[in-house]
Amino acid sequence: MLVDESQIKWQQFISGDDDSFSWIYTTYARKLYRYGLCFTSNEEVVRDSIQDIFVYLYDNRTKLEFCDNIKYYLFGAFKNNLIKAIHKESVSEDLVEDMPFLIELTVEDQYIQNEQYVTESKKIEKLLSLLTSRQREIIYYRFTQGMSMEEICGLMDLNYQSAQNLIQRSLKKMRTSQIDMNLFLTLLLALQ
Amino acid sequence: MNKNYTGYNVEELLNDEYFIQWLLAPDVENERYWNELREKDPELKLEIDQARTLVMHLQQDMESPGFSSEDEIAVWNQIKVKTDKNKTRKKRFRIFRIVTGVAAVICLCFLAVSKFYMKDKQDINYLAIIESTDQRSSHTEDVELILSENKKIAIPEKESQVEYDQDGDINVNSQKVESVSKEKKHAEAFNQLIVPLGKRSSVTFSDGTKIWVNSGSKVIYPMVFEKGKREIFIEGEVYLDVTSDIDRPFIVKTREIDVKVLGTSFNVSAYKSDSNLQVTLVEGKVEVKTSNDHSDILSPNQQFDYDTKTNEATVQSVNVDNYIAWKNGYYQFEKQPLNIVFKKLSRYYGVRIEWDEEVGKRTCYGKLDLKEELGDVLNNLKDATAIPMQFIYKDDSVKISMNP
Repeated sequence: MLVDESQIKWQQFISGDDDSFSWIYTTYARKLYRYGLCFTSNEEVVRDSIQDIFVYLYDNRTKLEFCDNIKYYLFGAFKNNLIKAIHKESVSEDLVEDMPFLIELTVEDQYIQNEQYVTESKKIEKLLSLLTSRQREIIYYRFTQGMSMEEICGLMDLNYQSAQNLIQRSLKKMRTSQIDMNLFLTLLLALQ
Repeated sequence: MNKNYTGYNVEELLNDEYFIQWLLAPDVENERYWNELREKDPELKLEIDQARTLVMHLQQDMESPGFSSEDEIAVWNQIKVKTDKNKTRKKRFRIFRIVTGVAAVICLCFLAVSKFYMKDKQDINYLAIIESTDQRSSHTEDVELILSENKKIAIPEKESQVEYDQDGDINVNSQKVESVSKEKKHAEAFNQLIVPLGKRSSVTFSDGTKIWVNSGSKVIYPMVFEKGKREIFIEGEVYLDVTSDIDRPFIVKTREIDVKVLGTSFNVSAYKSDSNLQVTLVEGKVEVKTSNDHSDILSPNQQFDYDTKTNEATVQSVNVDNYIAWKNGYYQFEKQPLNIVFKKLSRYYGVRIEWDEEVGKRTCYGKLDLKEELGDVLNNLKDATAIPMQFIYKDDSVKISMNP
Protein backbone atom coordinates (compact mmCIF):
# COMPACT_ATOMS: atom_id res chain seq x y z
CA MET A 1 0.00 0.00 0.00
CA LEU A 2 2.97 2.33 0.26
CA VAL A 3 3.89 4.50 -2.64
CA ASP A 4 6.48 2.63 -4.62
CA GLU A 5 9.70 4.35 -5.58
CA SER A 6 9.80 2.21 -8.71
CA GLN A 7 6.50 3.67 -9.89
CA ILE A 8 7.84 7.19 -9.47
CA LYS A 9 10.99 6.31 -11.37
CA TRP A 10 8.95 4.68 -14.15
CA GLN A 11 6.78 7.75 -14.50
CA GLN A 12 9.83 9.98 -14.66
CA PHE A 13 11.46 7.67 -17.18
CA ILE A 14 8.54 7.72 -19.60
CA SER A 15 8.35 11.48 -19.16
CA GLY A 16 11.86 11.78 -20.54
CA ASP A 17 14.21 11.51 -17.56
CA ASP A 18 17.36 9.53 -18.40
CA ASP A 19 18.55 9.17 -14.80
CA SER A 20 15.44 7.21 -13.98
CA PHE A 21 16.25 4.88 -16.85
CA SER A 22 19.62 4.17 -15.22
CA TRP A 23 17.88 3.59 -11.92
CA ILE A 24 15.54 1.06 -13.48
CA TYR A 25 18.49 -0.75 -15.03
CA THR A 26 20.56 -0.89 -11.84
CA THR A 27 17.54 -2.05 -9.86
CA TYR A 28 16.28 -4.79 -12.15
CA ALA A 29 19.08 -5.95 -14.49
CA ARG A 30 20.62 -8.30 -11.94
CA LYS A 31 17.28 -9.80 -10.97
CA LEU A 32 16.52 -10.39 -14.64
CA TYR A 33 19.91 -11.98 -15.17
CA ARG A 34 19.39 -14.44 -12.33
CA TYR A 35 15.88 -15.13 -13.61
CA GLY A 36 17.17 -15.69 -17.12
CA LEU A 37 19.68 -18.26 -15.94
CA CYS A 38 16.78 -20.36 -14.70
CA PHE A 39 15.83 -20.99 -18.31
CA THR A 40 19.26 -21.52 -19.85
CA SER A 41 22.89 -21.77 -18.88
CA ASN A 42 23.82 -19.75 -21.96
CA GLU A 43 24.89 -16.48 -20.37
CA GLU A 44 25.26 -14.68 -23.66
CA VAL A 45 21.64 -15.27 -24.67
CA VAL A 46 20.50 -13.96 -21.28
CA ARG A 47 22.68 -10.86 -21.57
CA ASP A 48 21.38 -10.17 -25.08
CA SER A 49 17.79 -10.41 -23.92
CA ILE A 50 18.40 -7.93 -21.12
CA GLN A 51 19.93 -5.60 -23.65
CA ASP A 52 16.98 -6.03 -26.03
CA ILE A 53 14.43 -5.27 -23.34
CA PHE A 54 16.09 -2.09 -22.15
CA VAL A 55 16.75 -0.80 -25.65
CA TYR A 56 13.08 -1.47 -26.43
CA LEU A 57 11.98 0.44 -23.34
CA TYR A 58 14.14 3.42 -24.17
CA ASP A 59 13.13 3.57 -27.83
CA ASN A 60 9.45 3.32 -27.02
CA ARG A 61 9.31 5.36 -23.82
CA THR A 62 6.84 7.89 -25.15
CA LYS A 63 4.41 5.15 -26.05
CA LEU A 64 4.60 3.44 -22.68
CA GLU A 65 1.86 3.91 -20.14
CA PHE A 66 1.75 4.38 -16.40
CA CYS A 67 2.85 1.10 -14.84
CA ASP A 68 2.05 0.19 -11.27
CA ASN A 69 4.03 -3.06 -11.24
CA ILE A 70 7.37 -2.59 -12.89
CA LYS A 71 8.92 -5.84 -11.75
CA TYR A 72 6.04 -7.88 -13.13
CA TYR A 73 6.07 -5.98 -16.39
CA LEU A 74 9.83 -6.43 -16.83
CA PHE A 75 9.76 -10.10 -15.88
CA GLY A 76 6.98 -10.78 -18.38
CA ALA A 77 8.58 -8.88 -21.24
CA PHE A 78 11.97 -10.40 -20.49
CA LYS A 79 10.65 -13.96 -20.31
CA ASN A 80 8.94 -13.61 -23.70
CA ASN A 81 12.04 -12.22 -25.32
CA LEU A 82 14.33 -14.81 -23.73
CA ILE A 83 12.20 -17.84 -24.59
CA LYS A 84 12.05 -16.74 -28.23
CA ALA A 85 15.81 -16.21 -28.28
CA ILE A 86 16.46 -19.62 -26.70
CA HIS A 87 14.29 -21.34 -29.31
CA LYS A 88 16.20 -19.61 -32.06
CA GLU A 89 19.48 -20.77 -30.60
CA SER A 90 18.54 -24.39 -30.13
CA VAL A 91 18.81 -26.70 -33.08
CA SER A 92 16.20 -29.20 -31.99
CA GLU A 93 12.49 -28.38 -31.96
CA ASP A 94 11.90 -28.19 -28.22
CA LEU A 95 8.32 -27.80 -27.17
CA VAL A 96 7.53 -24.92 -24.83
CA GLU A 97 6.40 -27.40 -22.19
CA ASP A 98 9.85 -28.95 -22.18
CA MET A 99 11.41 -25.59 -21.34
CA PRO A 100 13.78 -26.33 -18.48
CA PHE A 101 13.67 -24.35 -15.28
CA LEU A 102 16.70 -24.67 -13.06
CA ILE A 103 17.00 -23.32 -9.58
CA GLU A 104 20.52 -23.30 -8.28
CA LEU A 105 20.98 -22.38 -4.66
CA THR A 106 24.39 -20.89 -4.03
CA VAL A 107 25.36 -20.36 -0.41
CA GLU A 108 26.72 -16.89 0.16
CA ASP A 109 30.20 -16.46 1.58
CA GLN A 110 28.90 -15.24 4.90
CA TYR A 111 27.08 -18.53 5.49
CA ILE A 112 29.69 -20.91 4.14
CA GLN A 113 31.18 -21.62 7.56
CA ASN A 114 27.76 -22.56 8.94
CA GLU A 115 27.59 -26.34 8.39
CA GLN A 116 23.93 -26.66 9.23
CA TYR A 117 22.99 -23.91 6.80
CA VAL A 118 24.99 -25.50 4.01
CA THR A 119 23.44 -28.94 4.62
CA GLU A 120 19.93 -27.47 4.65
CA SER A 121 20.62 -25.64 1.44
CA LYS A 122 21.85 -28.76 -0.31
CA LYS A 123 18.84 -30.72 0.90
CA ILE A 124 16.44 -28.12 -0.43
CA GLU A 125 18.22 -28.05 -3.75
CA LYS A 126 17.89 -31.82 -3.95
CA LEU A 127 14.16 -31.57 -3.22
CA LEU A 128 13.76 -28.95 -5.93
CA SER A 129 15.52 -31.17 -8.44
CA LEU A 130 12.80 -33.78 -7.94
CA LEU A 131 10.14 -31.38 -9.19
CA THR A 132 9.13 -30.77 -12.79
CA SER A 133 10.23 -27.58 -14.50
CA ARG A 134 6.81 -25.99 -14.19
CA GLN A 135 6.69 -26.87 -10.51
CA ARG A 136 10.07 -25.31 -9.92
CA GLU A 137 9.08 -22.25 -11.90
CA ILE A 138 5.99 -21.62 -9.81
CA ILE A 139 7.86 -22.16 -6.53
CA TYR A 140 10.43 -19.65 -7.76
CA TYR A 141 7.80 -16.98 -8.49
CA ARG A 142 5.84 -17.62 -5.31
CA PHE A 143 8.64 -17.83 -2.74
CA THR A 144 11.85 -16.51 -4.24
CA GLN A 145 10.29 -13.56 -6.01
CA GLY A 146 7.34 -13.21 -3.64
CA MET A 147 4.86 -12.66 -6.46
CA SER A 148 1.11 -12.65 -6.07
CA MET A 149 -1.11 -15.34 -7.56
CA GLU A 150 -2.31 -12.81 -10.11
CA GLU A 151 1.20 -12.11 -11.31
CA ILE A 152 2.06 -15.81 -11.42
CA CYS A 153 -1.00 -16.55 -13.52
CA GLY A 154 0.08 -13.84 -15.95
CA LEU A 155 3.68 -15.03 -16.25
CA MET A 156 2.82 -18.71 -16.61
CA ASP A 157 -0.40 -18.29 -18.56
CA LEU A 158 -2.46 -20.22 -16.03
CA ASN A 159 -5.85 -19.61 -14.51
CA TYR A 160 -6.10 -19.14 -10.77
CA GLN A 161 -7.24 -22.67 -10.01
CA SER A 162 -4.52 -24.31 -12.10
CA ALA A 163 -1.88 -22.16 -10.42
CA GLN A 164 -3.20 -23.11 -6.98
CA ASN A 165 -3.14 -26.79 -7.89
CA LEU A 166 0.37 -26.57 -9.28
CA ILE A 167 1.71 -24.99 -6.08
CA GLN A 168 -0.03 -27.54 -3.93
CA ARG A 169 1.33 -30.41 -5.96
CA SER A 170 4.84 -28.97 -5.81
CA LEU A 171 4.75 -28.51 -2.07
CA LYS A 172 3.31 -31.97 -1.57
CA LYS A 173 6.01 -33.50 -3.73
CA MET A 174 8.69 -31.72 -1.75
CA ARG A 175 7.09 -32.76 1.49
CA THR A 176 6.84 -36.45 0.62
CA SER A 177 10.31 -36.47 -0.90
CA GLN A 178 11.68 -34.97 2.27
CA ILE A 179 9.98 -37.64 4.38
CA ASP A 180 11.37 -40.27 2.07
CA MET A 181 14.82 -38.74 2.33
CA ASN A 182 14.63 -38.58 6.10
CA LEU A 183 13.40 -42.16 6.27
CA PHE A 184 16.15 -43.22 3.92
CA LEU A 185 18.75 -41.47 6.05
CA THR A 186 17.37 -42.97 9.27
CA LEU A 187 17.38 -46.41 7.68
CA LEU A 188 20.95 -45.89 6.55
CA LEU A 189 22.00 -44.87 10.03
CA ALA A 190 20.11 -47.77 11.58
CA LEU A 191 21.81 -50.25 9.32
CA GLN A 192 25.25 -49.02 10.19
CA MET B 1 -6.54 -14.02 10.48
CA ASN B 2 -9.06 -15.63 12.78
CA LYS B 3 -8.16 -19.01 11.37
CA ASN B 4 -7.29 -21.90 13.59
CA TYR B 5 -3.85 -23.09 12.53
CA THR B 6 -3.56 -26.03 14.94
CA GLY B 7 -2.46 -29.20 13.23
CA TYR B 8 -1.22 -27.37 10.14
CA ASN B 9 1.81 -28.88 8.48
CA VAL B 10 4.51 -27.24 6.37
CA GLU B 11 2.56 -27.76 3.17
CA GLU B 12 -0.64 -26.25 4.49
CA LEU B 13 1.20 -23.29 5.98
CA LEU B 14 2.92 -22.57 2.68
CA ASN B 15 -0.48 -22.50 1.01
CA ASP B 16 -1.80 -19.94 3.46
CA GLU B 17 -1.84 -16.29 2.34
CA TYR B 18 -1.34 -14.80 5.77
CA PHE B 19 1.60 -17.09 6.52
CA ILE B 20 3.25 -16.23 3.21
CA GLN B 21 2.61 -12.56 3.85
CA TRP B 22 4.52 -12.87 7.13
CA LEU B 23 7.46 -14.59 5.45
CA LEU B 24 7.71 -12.20 2.53
CA ALA B 25 6.52 -8.94 4.10
CA PRO B 26 6.90 -9.04 7.86
CA ASP B 27 5.35 -6.20 9.82
CA VAL B 28 4.60 -5.50 13.46
CA GLU B 29 1.21 -7.17 13.34
CA ASN B 30 1.99 -10.45 11.64
CA GLU B 31 5.31 -10.83 13.51
CA ARG B 32 3.44 -10.67 16.79
CA TYR B 33 0.75 -13.04 15.59
CA TRP B 34 2.98 -15.83 14.32
CA ASN B 35 5.52 -15.62 17.14
CA GLU B 36 2.69 -15.92 19.65
CA LEU B 37 1.50 -19.05 17.84
CA ARG B 38 5.01 -20.49 17.93
CA GLU B 39 5.15 -20.02 21.68
CA LYS B 40 1.70 -21.40 22.36
CA ASP B 41 1.82 -24.47 20.14
CA PRO B 42 5.12 -26.41 20.10
CA GLU B 43 4.01 -28.84 17.40
CA LEU B 44 2.98 -25.96 15.15
CA LYS B 45 6.27 -24.26 16.00
CA LEU B 46 8.18 -27.14 14.39
CA GLU B 47 6.15 -26.87 11.18
CA ILE B 48 6.37 -23.07 11.12
CA ASP B 49 10.14 -23.16 11.56
CA GLN B 50 10.59 -25.76 8.84
CA ALA B 51 8.46 -23.79 6.42
CA ARG B 52 10.29 -20.64 7.28
CA THR B 53 13.69 -22.27 6.75
CA LEU B 54 12.66 -23.47 3.32
CA VAL B 55 11.52 -20.04 2.17
CA MET B 56 14.50 -18.36 3.71
CA HIS B 57 16.86 -20.51 1.67
CA LEU B 58 14.83 -19.93 -1.48
CA GLN B 59 15.23 -16.21 -0.97
CA GLN B 60 18.69 -15.79 0.49
CA ASP B 61 20.53 -18.30 -1.64
CA MET B 62 19.14 -16.70 -4.77
CA GLU B 63 20.31 -13.25 -3.79
CA SER B 64 23.91 -13.87 -4.80
CA PRO B 65 25.01 -11.55 -7.63
CA GLY B 66 25.03 -13.83 -10.68
CA PHE B 67 25.62 -10.83 -12.91
CA SER B 68 29.24 -9.82 -12.46
CA SER B 69 29.89 -6.08 -12.21
CA GLU B 70 31.88 -6.09 -15.43
CA ASP B 71 29.06 -7.80 -17.29
CA GLU B 72 26.48 -5.47 -15.81
CA ILE B 73 28.44 -2.45 -17.02
CA ALA B 74 29.22 -4.02 -20.39
CA VAL B 75 25.55 -4.64 -21.13
CA TRP B 76 24.68 -1.12 -20.02
CA ASN B 77 27.26 0.33 -22.39
CA GLN B 78 25.75 -1.65 -25.24
CA ILE B 79 22.34 -0.29 -24.35
CA LYS B 80 23.65 3.26 -24.35
CA VAL B 81 25.28 2.78 -27.74
CA LYS B 82 22.09 1.40 -29.28
CA THR B 83 19.84 4.07 -27.81
CA ASP B 84 22.14 6.96 -28.58
CA LYS B 85 22.02 5.98 -32.23
CA ASN B 86 18.25 6.29 -32.21
CA LYS B 87 18.38 9.46 -30.14
CA THR B 88 20.25 11.44 -32.79
CA ARG B 89 17.73 10.35 -35.35
CA LYS B 90 14.87 11.49 -33.17
CA LYS B 91 16.59 14.77 -32.34
CA ARG B 92 16.79 15.73 -35.95
CA PHE B 93 13.16 14.87 -36.42
CA ARG B 94 12.17 16.84 -33.33
CA ILE B 95 13.98 19.97 -34.48
CA PHE B 96 12.21 19.75 -37.79
CA ARG B 97 8.83 19.56 -36.07
CA ILE B 98 9.55 22.52 -33.84
CA VAL B 99 10.37 24.63 -36.87
CA THR B 100 6.99 23.85 -38.42
CA GLY B 101 5.37 24.48 -35.08
CA VAL B 102 6.80 27.94 -34.76
CA ALA B 103 5.53 28.92 -38.17
CA ALA B 104 2.05 27.88 -37.19
CA VAL B 105 2.10 29.76 -33.93
CA ILE B 106 3.09 32.95 -35.68
CA CYS B 107 0.22 32.56 -38.06
CA LEU B 108 -2.16 32.05 -35.22
CA CYS B 109 -0.85 35.14 -33.47
CA PHE B 110 -1.69 37.23 -36.49
CA LEU B 111 -5.13 35.75 -36.60
CA ALA B 112 -5.67 36.45 -32.95
CA VAL B 113 -4.59 40.05 -33.32
CA SER B 114 -6.78 40.67 -36.34
CA LYS B 115 -9.71 39.09 -34.55
CA PHE B 116 -9.25 41.52 -31.75
CA TYR B 117 -9.44 44.41 -34.14
CA MET B 118 -12.39 42.95 -35.98
CA LYS B 119 -14.22 42.16 -32.77
CA ASP B 120 -16.76 40.12 -34.62
CA LYS B 121 -16.69 37.00 -32.49
CA GLN B 122 -17.40 37.11 -28.82
CA ASP B 123 -15.86 34.81 -26.28
CA ILE B 124 -18.22 31.98 -25.67
CA ASN B 125 -20.11 32.45 -22.48
CA TYR B 126 -19.71 29.03 -20.90
CA LEU B 127 -21.04 30.07 -17.53
CA ALA B 128 -24.31 31.07 -19.15
CA ILE B 129 -24.56 27.64 -20.72
CA ILE B 130 -24.03 26.01 -17.34
CA GLU B 131 -26.56 28.21 -15.67
CA SER B 132 -29.24 27.52 -18.25
CA THR B 133 -28.75 23.77 -17.96
CA ASP B 134 -28.70 23.99 -14.17
CA GLN B 135 -32.13 25.53 -14.26
CA ARG B 136 -33.56 22.88 -16.51
CA SER B 137 -31.58 19.94 -15.15
CA SER B 138 -33.31 17.13 -13.36
CA HIS B 139 -30.34 16.75 -10.97
CA THR B 140 -30.33 13.01 -11.30
CA GLU B 141 -27.69 10.62 -10.01
CA ASP B 142 -26.95 9.53 -13.56
CA VAL B 143 -24.26 10.89 -15.83
CA GLU B 144 -26.00 13.16 -18.34
CA LEU B 145 -24.91 13.81 -21.89
CA ILE B 146 -26.76 16.85 -23.20
CA LEU B 147 -26.65 16.98 -26.98
CA SER B 148 -28.87 19.93 -27.71
CA GLU B 149 -31.77 21.89 -26.31
CA ASN B 150 -34.02 18.89 -26.41
CA LYS B 151 -31.91 15.78 -26.40
CA LYS B 152 -30.53 14.43 -23.15
CA ILE B 153 -29.03 10.99 -22.62
CA ALA B 154 -28.88 9.50 -19.14
CA ILE B 155 -26.05 7.08 -18.37
CA PRO B 156 -26.58 5.13 -15.15
CA GLU B 157 -23.27 3.22 -15.02
CA LYS B 158 -20.57 4.16 -12.51
CA GLU B 159 -17.93 4.23 -15.26
CA SER B 160 -18.81 5.13 -18.83
CA GLN B 161 -17.20 6.04 -22.14
CA VAL B 162 -18.49 8.44 -24.74
CA GLU B 163 -16.91 8.35 -28.17
CA TYR B 164 -17.28 10.67 -31.13
CA ASP B 165 -16.05 8.89 -34.21
CA GLN B 166 -14.95 10.48 -37.41
CA ASP B 167 -18.24 9.87 -39.19
CA GLY B 168 -20.09 11.94 -36.66
CA ASP B 169 -21.64 9.06 -34.74
CA ILE B 170 -21.80 9.23 -30.98
CA ASN B 171 -21.34 6.01 -29.02
CA VAL B 172 -21.96 5.53 -25.31
CA ASN B 173 -20.32 2.42 -23.85
CA SER B 174 -19.86 1.11 -27.38
CA GLN B 175 -23.51 1.55 -28.32
CA LYS B 176 -24.52 4.10 -30.89
CA VAL B 177 -26.85 6.70 -29.45
CA GLU B 178 -26.87 9.42 -32.06
CA SER B 179 -25.85 10.09 -35.56
CA VAL B 180 -25.02 13.66 -36.32
CA SER B 181 -26.32 14.63 -39.72
CA LYS B 182 -24.36 17.12 -41.81
CA GLU B 183 -26.89 19.89 -41.25
CA LYS B 184 -26.65 19.69 -37.50
CA LYS B 185 -22.88 20.02 -37.56
CA HIS B 186 -22.33 23.71 -37.11
CA ALA B 187 -19.84 25.39 -34.85
CA GLU B 188 -22.46 26.86 -32.55
CA ALA B 189 -23.72 23.52 -31.31
CA PHE B 190 -22.39 22.56 -27.90
CA ASN B 191 -22.56 19.30 -26.01
CA GLN B 192 -22.38 19.02 -22.28
CA LEU B 193 -21.37 16.08 -20.10
CA ILE B 194 -22.46 16.26 -16.47
CA VAL B 195 -20.88 13.70 -14.14
CA PRO B 196 -22.38 13.66 -10.64
CA LEU B 197 -20.63 12.61 -7.44
CA GLY B 198 -19.94 8.92 -7.28
CA LYS B 199 -19.55 8.46 -11.03
CA ARG B 200 -16.83 8.82 -13.64
CA SER B 201 -16.86 9.04 -17.40
CA SER B 202 -14.68 9.67 -20.38
CA VAL B 203 -15.12 11.27 -23.78
CA THR B 204 -13.10 10.59 -26.89
CA PHE B 205 -13.42 13.42 -29.37
CA SER B 206 -13.37 12.98 -33.11
CA ASP B 207 -9.75 14.13 -33.29
CA GLY B 208 -8.72 11.31 -30.96
CA THR B 209 -8.25 13.44 -27.86
CA LYS B 210 -9.48 11.64 -24.76
CA ILE B 211 -10.71 13.24 -21.59
CA TRP B 212 -11.30 11.30 -18.34
CA VAL B 213 -13.87 13.03 -16.16
CA ASN B 214 -13.86 12.59 -12.40
CA SER B 215 -16.84 12.73 -10.04
CA GLY B 216 -18.67 15.99 -9.66
CA SER B 217 -17.52 17.50 -12.93
CA LYS B 218 -18.89 19.14 -16.07
CA VAL B 219 -17.44 19.40 -19.55
CA ILE B 220 -18.74 21.68 -22.30
CA TYR B 221 -17.42 21.21 -25.80
CA PRO B 222 -18.45 21.93 -29.36
CA MET B 223 -19.82 19.23 -31.62
CA VAL B 224 -17.10 20.12 -34.08
CA PHE B 225 -13.86 21.80 -33.15
CA GLU B 226 -13.15 25.14 -34.78
CA LYS B 227 -10.56 25.44 -37.51
CA GLY B 228 -8.09 27.48 -35.51
CA LYS B 229 -8.41 25.98 -32.08
CA ARG B 230 -9.93 23.18 -30.04
CA GLU B 231 -11.59 24.65 -27.00
CA ILE B 232 -13.48 23.05 -24.15
CA PHE B 233 -14.72 24.26 -20.79
CA ILE B 234 -14.49 22.20 -17.64
CA GLU B 235 -15.51 22.42 -14.04
CA GLY B 236 -14.27 19.76 -11.61
CA GLU B 237 -11.43 17.39 -12.38
CA VAL B 238 -10.33 15.93 -15.70
CA TYR B 239 -7.34 14.17 -17.17
CA LEU B 240 -6.56 14.84 -20.81
CA ASP B 241 -4.62 13.01 -23.45
CA VAL B 242 -4.52 15.51 -26.30
CA THR B 243 -3.62 14.44 -29.81
CA SER B 244 -0.95 16.52 -31.42
CA ASP B 245 -2.20 19.14 -33.85
CA ILE B 246 0.15 22.01 -34.37
CA ASP B 247 -2.43 24.03 -36.27
CA ARG B 248 -5.06 23.72 -33.61
CA PRO B 249 -3.86 24.29 -30.06
CA PHE B 250 -6.09 22.66 -27.48
CA ILE B 251 -7.43 25.06 -24.85
CA VAL B 252 -9.06 24.03 -21.60
CA LYS B 253 -10.99 26.84 -20.00
CA THR B 254 -12.14 26.87 -16.40
CA ARG B 255 -13.71 29.60 -14.31
CA GLU B 256 -10.38 31.08 -13.33
CA ILE B 257 -7.65 29.70 -15.57
CA ASP B 258 -7.03 28.68 -19.18
CA VAL B 259 -4.67 25.87 -20.12
CA LYS B 260 -3.23 25.84 -23.63
CA VAL B 261 -1.59 22.76 -25.11
CA LEU B 262 -0.25 21.46 -28.38
CA GLY B 263 -0.50 17.74 -27.70
CA THR B 264 0.12 16.18 -24.37
CA SER B 265 -1.18 14.47 -21.21
CA PHE B 266 -2.17 16.39 -18.13
CA ASN B 267 -4.60 16.70 -15.26
CA VAL B 268 -6.75 19.71 -14.40
CA SER B 269 -8.41 19.97 -11.01
CA ALA B 270 -10.78 22.95 -10.86
CA TYR B 271 -13.66 22.21 -8.52
CA LYS B 272 -15.93 25.13 -7.69
CA SER B 273 -15.87 24.08 -4.04
CA ASP B 274 -12.07 23.94 -3.85
CA SER B 275 -10.12 27.09 -3.11
CA ASN B 276 -7.09 25.80 -5.05
CA LEU B 277 -6.95 24.91 -8.73
CA GLN B 278 -4.22 22.63 -10.02
CA VAL B 279 -2.82 21.67 -13.39
CA THR B 280 -0.44 18.72 -13.36
CA LEU B 281 1.58 17.93 -16.46
CA VAL B 282 2.58 14.36 -17.27
CA GLU B 283 3.98 14.75 -20.74
CA GLY B 284 4.47 17.56 -23.23
CA LYS B 285 4.14 21.27 -22.62
CA VAL B 286 1.32 23.50 -21.52
CA GLU B 287 0.79 27.17 -20.91
CA VAL B 288 -1.45 28.12 -18.03
CA LYS B 289 -3.04 31.57 -17.93
CA THR B 290 -4.95 33.07 -15.04
CA SER B 291 -7.76 35.59 -15.22
CA ASN B 292 -5.39 38.39 -14.27
CA ASP B 293 -3.21 37.54 -17.30
CA HIS B 294 -0.44 35.88 -15.34
CA SER B 295 0.93 32.95 -17.34
CA ASP B 296 3.24 30.02 -16.67
CA ILE B 297 4.67 27.33 -18.90
CA LEU B 298 4.89 23.84 -17.44
CA SER B 299 7.31 21.02 -18.12
CA PRO B 300 6.56 17.36 -17.38
CA ASN B 301 6.13 16.47 -13.69
CA GLN B 302 5.36 20.04 -12.82
CA GLN B 303 2.25 21.27 -11.16
CA PHE B 304 0.66 24.68 -11.39
CA ASP B 305 -1.32 25.63 -8.29
CA TYR B 306 -3.65 28.66 -8.17
CA ASP B 307 -5.09 29.87 -4.89
CA THR B 308 -8.39 31.57 -5.74
CA LYS B 309 -8.50 33.35 -2.40
CA THR B 310 -5.10 35.03 -2.63
CA ASN B 311 -4.75 34.94 -6.45
CA GLU B 312 -1.32 33.43 -5.94
CA ALA B 313 0.09 31.10 -8.58
CA THR B 314 2.93 28.67 -7.89
CA VAL B 315 4.74 26.03 -9.93
CA GLN B 316 6.47 23.06 -8.33
CA SER B 317 7.74 19.59 -9.18
CA VAL B 318 5.53 16.76 -8.01
CA ASN B 319 5.07 13.04 -8.19
CA VAL B 320 2.41 13.02 -10.90
CA ASP B 321 0.99 9.66 -9.82
CA ASN B 322 -0.51 11.28 -6.76
CA TYR B 323 -2.67 13.41 -9.03
CA ILE B 324 -3.53 11.17 -11.94
CA ALA B 325 -3.87 7.71 -10.43
CA TRP B 326 -7.65 8.29 -10.22
CA LYS B 327 -8.01 7.84 -13.95
CA ASN B 328 -6.79 4.26 -13.61
CA GLY B 329 -9.05 3.64 -10.65
CA TYR B 330 -6.50 4.26 -7.90
CA TYR B 331 -5.99 7.02 -5.40
CA GLN B 332 -2.41 7.50 -4.44
CA PHE B 333 -1.06 10.01 -1.99
CA GLU B 334 2.05 10.97 -0.07
CA LYS B 335 2.07 12.83 3.23
CA GLN B 336 -1.51 13.87 2.70
CA PRO B 337 -3.70 15.07 5.57
CA LEU B 338 -6.72 12.81 5.94
CA ASN B 339 -8.91 15.90 5.52
CA ILE B 340 -8.08 15.86 1.85
CA VAL B 341 -8.21 12.08 1.51
CA PHE B 342 -11.73 11.92 2.95
CA LYS B 343 -12.91 14.82 0.81
CA LYS B 344 -11.69 13.11 -2.35
CA LEU B 345 -13.19 9.75 -1.35
CA SER B 346 -16.48 11.45 -0.61
CA ARG B 347 -16.53 12.93 -4.10
CA TYR B 348 -15.44 9.74 -5.78
CA TYR B 349 -18.05 7.53 -4.09
CA GLY B 350 -20.77 10.16 -3.87
CA VAL B 351 -21.18 9.52 -0.15
CA ARG B 352 -21.16 12.20 2.50
CA ILE B 353 -18.29 11.72 4.92
CA GLU B 354 -17.93 13.52 8.24
CA TRP B 355 -14.85 13.31 10.37
CA ASP B 356 -13.38 14.57 13.61
CA GLU B 357 -10.71 17.18 13.32
CA GLU B 358 -8.40 14.94 15.31
CA VAL B 359 -8.53 12.28 12.59
CA GLY B 360 -8.54 14.77 9.75
CA LYS B 361 -5.29 16.45 10.59
CA ARG B 362 -3.29 13.19 10.64
CA THR B 363 -1.15 12.67 7.54
CA CYS B 364 -0.36 9.43 5.78
CA TYR B 365 0.89 7.66 2.68
CA GLY B 366 -1.23 5.24 0.75
CA LYS B 367 -2.56 3.75 -2.42
CA LEU B 368 -6.21 2.82 -2.48
CA ASP B 369 -8.01 0.68 -5.02
CA LEU B 370 -11.12 2.63 -5.91
CA LYS B 371 -12.74 -0.38 -7.55
CA GLU B 372 -13.46 -1.65 -4.05
CA GLU B 373 -16.46 -0.61 -1.96
CA LEU B 374 -16.03 2.44 0.23
CA GLY B 375 -16.27 0.34 3.41
CA ASP B 376 -13.35 -1.85 2.32
CA VAL B 377 -11.32 1.15 1.21
CA LEU B 378 -11.80 2.82 4.60
CA ASN B 379 -10.80 -0.37 6.39
CA ASN B 380 -7.69 -0.70 4.24
CA LEU B 381 -6.86 2.91 4.99
CA LYS B 382 -7.21 2.24 8.70
CA ASP B 383 -4.97 -0.85 8.52
CA ALA B 384 -2.32 0.77 6.37
CA THR B 385 -2.01 3.93 8.43
CA ALA B 386 -2.40 2.19 11.81
CA ILE B 387 -4.54 5.13 12.93
CA PRO B 388 -7.27 3.85 15.28
CA MET B 389 -10.33 5.10 13.38
CA GLN B 390 -13.89 4.23 14.09
CA PHE B 391 -16.48 4.22 11.32
CA ILE B 392 -20.18 4.72 11.92
CA TYR B 393 -22.29 4.07 8.83
CA LYS B 394 -25.67 5.76 8.53
CA ASP B 395 -28.16 5.68 5.68
CA ASP B 396 -26.33 8.04 3.38
CA SER B 397 -23.21 9.06 5.27
CA VAL B 398 -20.17 7.87 7.18
CA LYS B 399 -18.89 9.40 10.39
CA ILE B 400 -15.23 8.88 11.22
CA SER B 401 -13.87 9.44 14.69
CA MET B 402 -10.82 8.44 16.68
CA ASN B 403 -11.06 5.26 18.72
CA PRO B 404 -10.65 6.18 22.37
